[in-house]
Amino acid sequence: MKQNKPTITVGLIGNPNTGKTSLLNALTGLNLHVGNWPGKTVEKRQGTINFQDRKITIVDLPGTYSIVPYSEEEKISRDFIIEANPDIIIQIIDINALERNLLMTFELLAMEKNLILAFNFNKEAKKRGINIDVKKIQEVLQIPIVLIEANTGENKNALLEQVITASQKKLKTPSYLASLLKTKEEISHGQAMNFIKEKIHPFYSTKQRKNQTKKIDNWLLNKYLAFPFFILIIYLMFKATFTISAPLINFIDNFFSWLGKLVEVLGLPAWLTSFLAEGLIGGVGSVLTFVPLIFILFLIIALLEDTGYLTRAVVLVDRLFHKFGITGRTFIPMILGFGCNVPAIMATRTIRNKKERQIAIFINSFMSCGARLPVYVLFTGIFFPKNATLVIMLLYLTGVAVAFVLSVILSHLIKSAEENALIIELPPYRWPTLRNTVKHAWYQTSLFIKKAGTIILGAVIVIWLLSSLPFGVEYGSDQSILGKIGQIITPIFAPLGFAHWTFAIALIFGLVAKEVIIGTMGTLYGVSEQGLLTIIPNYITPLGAFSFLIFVLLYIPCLATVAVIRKETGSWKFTLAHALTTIIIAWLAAFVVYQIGLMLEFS
Amino acid sequence: MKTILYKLPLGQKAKIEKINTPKTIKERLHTFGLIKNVVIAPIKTTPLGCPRIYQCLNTAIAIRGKLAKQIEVETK
Repeated sequence: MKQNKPTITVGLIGNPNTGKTSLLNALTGLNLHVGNWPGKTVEKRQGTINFQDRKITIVDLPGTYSIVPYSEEEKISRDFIIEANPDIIIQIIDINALERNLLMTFELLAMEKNLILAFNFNKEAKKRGINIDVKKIQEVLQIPIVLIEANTGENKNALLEQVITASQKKLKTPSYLASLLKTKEEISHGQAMNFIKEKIHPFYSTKQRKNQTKKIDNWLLNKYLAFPFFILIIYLMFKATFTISAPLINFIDNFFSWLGKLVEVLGLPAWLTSFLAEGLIGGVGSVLTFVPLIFILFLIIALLEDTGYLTRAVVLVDRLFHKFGITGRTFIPMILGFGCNVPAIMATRTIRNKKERQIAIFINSFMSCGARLPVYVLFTGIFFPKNATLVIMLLYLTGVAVAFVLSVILSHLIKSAEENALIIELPPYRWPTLRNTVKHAWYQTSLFIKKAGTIILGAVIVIWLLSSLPFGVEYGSDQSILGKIGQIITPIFAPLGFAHWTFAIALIFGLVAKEVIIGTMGTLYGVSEQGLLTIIPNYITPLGAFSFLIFVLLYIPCLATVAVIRKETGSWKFTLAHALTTIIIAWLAAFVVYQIGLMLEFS
Repeated sequence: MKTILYKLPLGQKAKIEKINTPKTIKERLHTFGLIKNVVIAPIKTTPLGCPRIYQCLNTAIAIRGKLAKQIEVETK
């Protein structure tokens, strides 16, 4: 009977920093699914819930300041509304910035959408000294308004009730809308502002009290202290990431070793054992080992983002970055890149200018991701045990330096007539909620896991085949197809100081994911990771090892990154140019390091 | 008194008079509430001097000097 009532589709939209994600989480709980919008690179997040006797599907629309298609990004938001065609749109509004938020409300009305306004941060507004008569404002706007607290989920049921009520009413365009329109679809911002002044201001006033945010900014954006704080925060971020994740990484690593051994004693056919143990568990397992590192780094970044500090960091570094031809906004993808380049490259979407975004994507792979770290740790442990931390830091900094130099070059190479400007809102400092932060970090980590599950799995199969064929050869030996390839390309690496064919093959395997390099060498030499400690020095000098690490740092990060670059830029030309450039830079840098080292007689 | 946003001293309120940027950026500024007749005031300079942070419609917004030079304002 009542079950047959149609599902109500609700689009959730709002300016950035209005608590949209919190509201989405509060409404959908664990029922959130992430998929792709058809034909688009942006994820569609939606969840379906049962409320009273109705099914309600809530679709998350991208956070945006406007839906009028001035730019590509807003066009996407607009298309989403048209494509998803929700029955109802909930616009979440930060009541502290009501006037600015209302501009988009008028834009939505102009699209003839059935609208409900969710006023958020009411408690904070009271503290800040904002006076508001919601009833009167509702009368003026002729749109239902529900007061909520997104963080705690307060009043979410009232909001859902309103959704059901509104879905049963016929769409009625408010009478005042016509006077705000410039064209049939487009509102005039000037007229909208006049309307707000005349009709809304009598019921909305703010007595600016001394607020918390200003006090914190006096410290964190202080002329002399801002950069020391900035460096301290970044340092603590990495320190905490590595300290907390180390034991977890060990644990997972041991688990997969155990799993590998378990497969070996199962008595399966030799080829299957080899595939499962060496290919699947070795390849995919070694990627999953880094989940704790990436999750914790993303968790800390999400904390910094949710408090509002990350935007300050963007503003702080903007002038510096601008000198290198990139926008301050590049900062966020850059630090995400230290975790995993895949979500980092996806995060460049916040950069509106196409040229600036292309540069941000291009240089991201030089941010040394978590997967490269175990290679550094192994080699520095063997060759530079006393200065291991120093050498690793040097590698990270080399990556950053290469990124900046390349930005300058690219900013001259890429032609663009598009205007670039940084216009960025600094949200008030807010306490992050654990639930949102964890969800946020987990979402980005899940992208990394998906990479392990799909593209890396595929690549593992191909490489396993190449290492096993022709039939009968020892896995990954110099007689296999891969071994032959390795021998052919080895001369290329001779001037870089790693002339043995095993290094060439390890680097090919490393295309799948950098940490696979270690597993590969273990297989090739037929020893465990412990065994590598004694065997590697027979094939390479310390100088050669350092040059090898430089190469590992700089060349194509992994196939998943290549895939995501293709997806985000939509261009094979760009993707191939990036891949080739990284190889050339890696070769040149390793060459210079090795040859200069030889001249200085370091070997 | 007419001046440009870039020259407005910290804490000084002014009304936005005219935005002389290309259309796309002008409309982008509009969506942030930087619209003719709206009151704006610089509230903080970042350590490197650029961008500056402005208060407008109860929101803090950072824009670079280059852009602030293209916004005409009127002080009382």
